[in-house]
Formats: sequence, structure tokens, C-alpha cells
Amino acid sequence: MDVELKIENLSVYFGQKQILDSISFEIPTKSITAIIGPSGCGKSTFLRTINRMNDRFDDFHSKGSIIFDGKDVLSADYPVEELRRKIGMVFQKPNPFPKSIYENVVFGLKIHGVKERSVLDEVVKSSLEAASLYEQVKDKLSMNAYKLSGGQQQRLCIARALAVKPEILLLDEPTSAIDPLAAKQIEEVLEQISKEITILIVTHNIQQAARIADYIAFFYMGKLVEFGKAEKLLNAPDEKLTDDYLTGMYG
Amino acid sequence: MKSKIDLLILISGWISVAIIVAITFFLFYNWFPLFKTTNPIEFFFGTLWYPTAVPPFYGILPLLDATLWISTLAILITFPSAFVLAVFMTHVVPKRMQYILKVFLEIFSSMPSVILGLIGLSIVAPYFQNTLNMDTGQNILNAALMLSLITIPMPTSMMEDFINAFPPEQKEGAEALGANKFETLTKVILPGLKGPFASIAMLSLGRIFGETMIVLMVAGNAAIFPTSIFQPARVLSATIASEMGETPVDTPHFYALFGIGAVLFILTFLINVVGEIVRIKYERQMMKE
Amino acid sequence: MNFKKRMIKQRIAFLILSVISIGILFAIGSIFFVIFVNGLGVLNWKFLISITSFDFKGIPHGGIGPAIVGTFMVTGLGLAFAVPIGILAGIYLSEYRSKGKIFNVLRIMVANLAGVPSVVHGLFGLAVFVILFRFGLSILSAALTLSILALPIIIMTTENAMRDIPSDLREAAYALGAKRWQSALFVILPVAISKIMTGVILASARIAGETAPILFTGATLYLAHYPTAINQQFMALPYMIYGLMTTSMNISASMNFAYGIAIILIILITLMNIAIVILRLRTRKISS
Repeated sequence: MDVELKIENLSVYFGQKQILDSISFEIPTKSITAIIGPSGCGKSTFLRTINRMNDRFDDFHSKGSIIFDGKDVLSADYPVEELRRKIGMVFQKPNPFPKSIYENVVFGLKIHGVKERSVLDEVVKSSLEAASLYEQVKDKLSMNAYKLSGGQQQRLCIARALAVKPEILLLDEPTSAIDPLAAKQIEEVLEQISKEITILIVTHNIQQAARIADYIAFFYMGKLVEFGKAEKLLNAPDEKLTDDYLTGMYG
Repeated sequence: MKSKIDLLILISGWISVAIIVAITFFLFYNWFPLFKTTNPIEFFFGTLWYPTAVPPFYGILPLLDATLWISTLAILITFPSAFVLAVFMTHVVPKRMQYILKVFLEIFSSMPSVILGLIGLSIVAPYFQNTLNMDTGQNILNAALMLSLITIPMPTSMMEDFINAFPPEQKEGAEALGANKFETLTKVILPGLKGPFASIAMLSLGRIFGETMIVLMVAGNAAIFPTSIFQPARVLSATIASEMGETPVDTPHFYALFGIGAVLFILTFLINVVGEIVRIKYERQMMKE
Repeated sequence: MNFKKRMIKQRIAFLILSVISIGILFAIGSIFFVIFVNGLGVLNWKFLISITSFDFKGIPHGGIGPAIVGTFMVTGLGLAFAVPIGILAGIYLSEYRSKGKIFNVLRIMVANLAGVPSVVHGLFGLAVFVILFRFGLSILSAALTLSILALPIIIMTTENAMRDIPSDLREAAYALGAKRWQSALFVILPVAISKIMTGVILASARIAGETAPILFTGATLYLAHYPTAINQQFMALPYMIYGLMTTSMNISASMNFAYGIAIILIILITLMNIAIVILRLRTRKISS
């Protein structure tokens, strides 16, 4: 297996409070890795550390490194806008811009300087197709994105992230704010696009992890307890903590 | 990795500081040459303001005294009126009416003060003089009344917002103990809003202190030490407004008027800062609770 | 104390409150009434578009055309300076430095700038724009002075409007690699713009009615023609009211003229306020 991201001894703090404690593992390329664990275990913080979304908090600081393409993304001289173009993100609550569907998808391209109409049109089509939203919206691309349903909005956010051709897509509990049927569609989309890009998804839903993940990382109290192939970790975990969590000891 | 736009935003963000510093600098820069010809003690404590007499007198004490008279009277009218209106709007009239009154007051508060000056001068002053038999209708009372009218909407609207935003659980707590609306207001809400109301009073005072056109038009413009509210008076702001137009640049009179501006600027600055400190102190208290 | 007694006490208290309040509201209402009664007589088309003239007795004739144009010119030019800078400054406070010590200092400075007496702004304009920059007594000097009055209003409304936008939109933009200014200008500003507009209208109503800052930066009581360039002196509606009431030889003849101007000013400002109310209702609808 090829390695996309290499996390080495990563520790993360907000002020005095330590959120992540010496995390080390390697995320395989072009696959789905799910991060599971009880709430407050630091899984969202971990995800947001990878594309440096936590930078804007003054009291945030980190130790260790995250190696991507041979470079440490946490080092101050790594250009953060470039990083975020290569590593996209989808959030828990769908957050389309209050603009048209078209403008939403091309936003990332436009801020990175792409202006040619034909290129933009093509990317809108391919991105929306990848998020299996194209058929539903192809006749109303100028409609305000807020008029879409919750599940459609979330798929639009996926399309928006895909439009800049990222190598990795981070998803932070992307289906927890939408209905189960729409959630299933999104899972299908993710499985489809994982053939092209690496997906890292935080979820509190173990069934969801079981359905789509190739690999699973289990976090507990800021530590990585166990990482491995999905079937192995779900059926025969090495650690007792993992087993307890899977059998529902933590609710 | 700062772009030009970031730089532009940064500069704009600091512009208010730059302007405050520039205002301070230019007021003092155009004030201090006065002290080549006039003693600072004479400026601050001189009892005569006769800038065009020979020799001229540049004592601002009568102007300060008059400013104090008018501002005190105006805030004594404004604050209770605003308070009564705010309670009326939040506790007596229905919600819909409250909204209409709020818009009405908002429109009134953006009325140019020169119009209030016009009314004070052409209607109130003759009424005072002819019907109430005052020596002159252009006096401290008239100015304070007009100043209060134009100021009232601002504190009213702020008090109204505070009363509306008062924590409902505390209100309900009092009501659950059997207190009626009026008792809840006087025993729970008002004691809880002492801090913000004090800062609202300071802000209103700052407004009244610096207002120019009304006092210029209706206070009578006599630079004397008034002994009653029925006498004319001349305040700091109005002195600048009425004399600067005819004063040659770089003369002692010119410098003296900038001196008055500096005094006015410092006093309003202090009033506003005290208001701000009261507000911040109150916010801290709220945090602790 | 028994229940009935307390009830009566409440009734009496609210009754007194109501009487005083209605008195104040009546006084305010009668101001509008008095203005209209005294000024309606002079209002006609000629009054709006003619040039002002004074006869040998000092009685004003003609209309207020140049003053209307002058007021529009200084207000418009003042806004042209204040709006872009004010919005950028508001962006700085909400998107770049939204907390901490420096933020508090900046915010207090904006509040203090809003509290500077308008006549002091006039002195500043005289010292800097008229004398130092040699713009002279002119529309340009007056407009620059007025723009300083408008600035804090625009900064505060921009900051509040941008701050009210939920931060998940910012995160979405940042996650796509947007820089701070790109997120601010392309995502947050378009959503906040209608609220910011209320601040801009508020600021224009404020500066259109100001007299003290233009007294010695460029306004004049009498001009025989319409202003044609920004380096000229100008007539303005509020200054004209002041001038008519204090320098005229025939106060009673000037008075109706002054009230006519007051009506025009009130109509202008009421229209602006109605625009604000409509904008607010619209933004409330969008956000809900």
C-alpha cells in the first residue's frame, strides 16, 4: 500500500489543555480511512489539524509532524492556501455559500485564479456528477444553493471541495446533520470517489464505518488506540479498549 | 505572504486611531502658540472672554461655567425622560406599538439639530419672552430643553434594548414569587441595570456637551456667569462656531479658539472613556455571576 | 402589603409614566407639525430649483436649488471617501483582529471618534484640509471633514454585520484555500452587505444634516449660481437655516423660508429612514 499522509508523534494543545497525545500512523492512499471514537476523543481536532483549520485559534499549537508529499504540512513556511487546495474538507453541517449552485462549485477555482468560462463549466459538470447531484440540478445551476435540501447541500459541498482537484478529502461527520436516506447517497458518492482520491472521514457511527471504510483508526482520550484494516479492527481488535467501545461500553 | 489587499485592510483598520491622534495633534499645534502672548492661567481661569477687545481677553472660565449649567440642566431633563419613555414602551404599550414608536423616535433622532435650533429661536424664545415674561427667551432653559428633545431618543432606545434583553429567567423568578410587572421592574430589572444605565447617562452627556448648533442659536450667546436658568449663556462649542468664521488664521484669537476645541475634545473624550469603563466593568460583573 | 393595594400602586405608577411619556411624544410630534405648518407655504417647484437671491431689505427670494445640489455634493463625496475605508476597517475588526487587547483599543478608538463633537471635526478640517493641504474653503474640504464623521458609523455597522455571519461560511472558504481577504470580500461581505447599507444610509442622513463641521470648511450663505467644481464654496441646506435665522435683517420673512428648508431636510431624512426599515425587514427575512 502507498502512503498518502504520514503522521509522526503528533501532539496538539489548546492553551494548557492537551487534546491529542503523540499520534503516529500512516494513512494509505486512494482508500477510505474512518476515524472513530467517543465524542471529545480529539478526532475532529485531528482532522482539522491536517488542513490547519485550527491555525486561526490563537491558543492552538502542535508538536510532531504530518508528512504529505515529502513535506511537513505543520511547518510554518508551508503555504496554507496551497495545502487546503490539495486537501479539501467537508463539514458536519452543510455550509454552502448563499450564492448560486454554479458559483458555489467554481468558488475554489476562481480564488485560485482560474477564469476561463469553458474550464469552469466543465469542472462544474464533472464535480456535480462525481457528487451525483448533476442530474438533479443541471437545469437550475443559477438557483441559490440555500433552496436545496440538506442532503443535496451536503453533496454540493462535496462537489465544491472536489472542484479544485484535491488529493485528499477530509470529512467531519458529514452525514450526522442529514436524514438517513440522504446519508446513504453520500456514502455511495464517497465509495465512488475513493477510487481517485484519499478519503479521511470522522464518524461516530460505527455502522457507517463498517459500510464504507477500508481502514479504521480508533481514538480514545486524545490517543490513537488502534489502527488497521476495517474488517480486522471491527471483528478482532487487538486492544481491549477498542473491543469495549465496539460492544457499546461507552454508549 | 501578505497581499496588497491585506495591507489596505490593515491600514483602514487603524485609521480611527490615526485620526484621533491627528485631531489631538492639530488641536494642540494650533493652540500652543497662544501661550506666547497669553498666560495659561489667564486662559483657563480668566473670567473675561473679550477676544476682539483692545487688549483682548481670552479667559474661558465663563464659557466652561455656562457649558456646565446647560449640560447639567439638559441631562437632568434627558435622563429621567428617556427612562420613563423606555419603561412606557417596554411595559405599557403593545409590542406592535413599541416598534412603531421606536421607528418614530429613530427618525426624530436623525433630525438635524439646526432644525431644533430654528424651533427654539422662532417659537420657544418668543413664547418665553412674551407669554412667560422672561427678560429674554434665548436662555439656558430654552437651550437645555431643545438639547434634551434631540438627545432623548438615543438613551431611550438603548435603555429599551437593555430592558428587553434582561435575562427572562430572572424576570420569571420574580414573577413566580408573585411580584407584579411594576415590582419586577423596580426590584429586579432596574437594580440589575445600574451599570448600563450609568454608561448610557455618560454617553448622553457626551452628546449634549459637544452639541453646537442648538446652543449657538438659542442660548443667547452672552459670555457672562449666569446666576439662573433664565439668563443667556455662551458655551464652549458655540463660541468656536460663531467666531472661527471671522477670525484670521494664525492670530491669538485663532489659537484661543483651537484651545477651546482642545478643551472640549479632552472633556468629551474623558466623559466617553468613563462611560466605556463603566460599561466594561459592568460586563465583567455579569461574567462573574 | 395586600394584593389589591399593590395592584393599585402599579396602576398609578404606570398611569403617571404614561402621562409623562405621551407628553414627550406629543412635544416631539408637535415639532413636526410646527415645521410643516410654517414651511408648507413656500413649497413649490420653483422653491426647489431656483437660485436664491436677497433683496435690499435682506428678504430671501427664489429657491434653494444651489443648497440642495451643494448638500448632495458634499454628502455624496463624503460617502465616496468614507464608505470604502469604513468597510475595510470594519472587515479588519471582524475578520482580522476580532478579539484581544489591540481589538479592544481599536474599538474604543472608533467609539471615541464617534463621540468627538462635530465642531471639533470642523476645526480639524480647517487645520488639515483647508490650511495644510491647501484645499481652501471648498466642497472637497467639507466633504473630507464630513467623511470623518461618517467613518465610525460605517465601521461599527460593518463590523457588527460581518460578525453576525455564522463562522461555518468562513470555514468553508478557508477549507477551499481562500485567503482571509478572499473569504471576507467574496463570501462574508456579499451576505452582510444589506446590513452594512443601513449603516451607510444612517451615515449619510447624519452628514447631510450637519452644520458645525462645514461652517468653516467651505459652506457659504449665498451663492449666485449652482456649484460646478469641488474646489468651490457651496451652499448647504442646514447651514442655510442657520444663516437665515441669524444673519438676516428680516427674521420673520426669512423664517418661512427656513421652515421650507427644514421640510425638505426632514423629507430627505425620513426617506432614508424608511429605506433603512425596509432593508432591515429584508435582512430579517433572509436570515430566517
